[in-house]
Amino acid sequence: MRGLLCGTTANTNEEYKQVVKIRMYRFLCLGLVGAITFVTALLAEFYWKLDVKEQMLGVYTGAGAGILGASVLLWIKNKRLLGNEEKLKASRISNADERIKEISNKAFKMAAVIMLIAMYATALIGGLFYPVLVELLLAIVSIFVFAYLVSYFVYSKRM
Amino acid sequence: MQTKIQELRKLKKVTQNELADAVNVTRQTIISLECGRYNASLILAHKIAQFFEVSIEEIFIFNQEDENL
Repeated sequence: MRGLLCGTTANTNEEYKQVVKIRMYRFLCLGLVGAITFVTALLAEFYWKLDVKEQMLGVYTGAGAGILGASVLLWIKNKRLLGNEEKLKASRISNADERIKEISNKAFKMAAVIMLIAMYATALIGGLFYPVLVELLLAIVSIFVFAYLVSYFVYSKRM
Repeated sequence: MQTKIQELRKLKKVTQNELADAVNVTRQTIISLECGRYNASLILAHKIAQFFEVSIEEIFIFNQEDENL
């Protein structure tokens, strides 16, 4: 996901430092989302005493802790990058490399096609047992198609 | 697309790493360009041409048949 999520056009280390600082700020926001999810799940169980299934509480606390942990680790990794010019340069080049970006775009396109096929198959087969699956998966596919059309329109205006 | 990057690189005694650093790509991208597995963008082609102080056409050999034109 390097080229897809971390792609940059920075040509110098100074430009890339700004990119890394913005990225660190995003990790802080993501960590906050994780912390809120984690704390809310704990409050729901121990303070508000809500009637939530044990399995779902595990999912919420696990997802929250996972997002928080990953954000902290990535924040530290980026912070260390800022203090090491050699590593910063290596990271900048690998994130700015046009071939890596193209590989990521192609891999993402392939993954999107496979995901759509998997969702269609799941809706068809799973719908026989759980009709709600058809509605849910068709809604997700609709969001995907809608997001694609909007993005296509926006980028066609820019390019 | 065939290129003369390797030829020019050896002529000027430049390593793949040095060229990669100069044009802001990874060494793997230089290898792919030299093998003809990857076609450079116009910007990268310009950077490489500027590095070797030659024109783009002198490095990248455009084959109409290969490109289905």
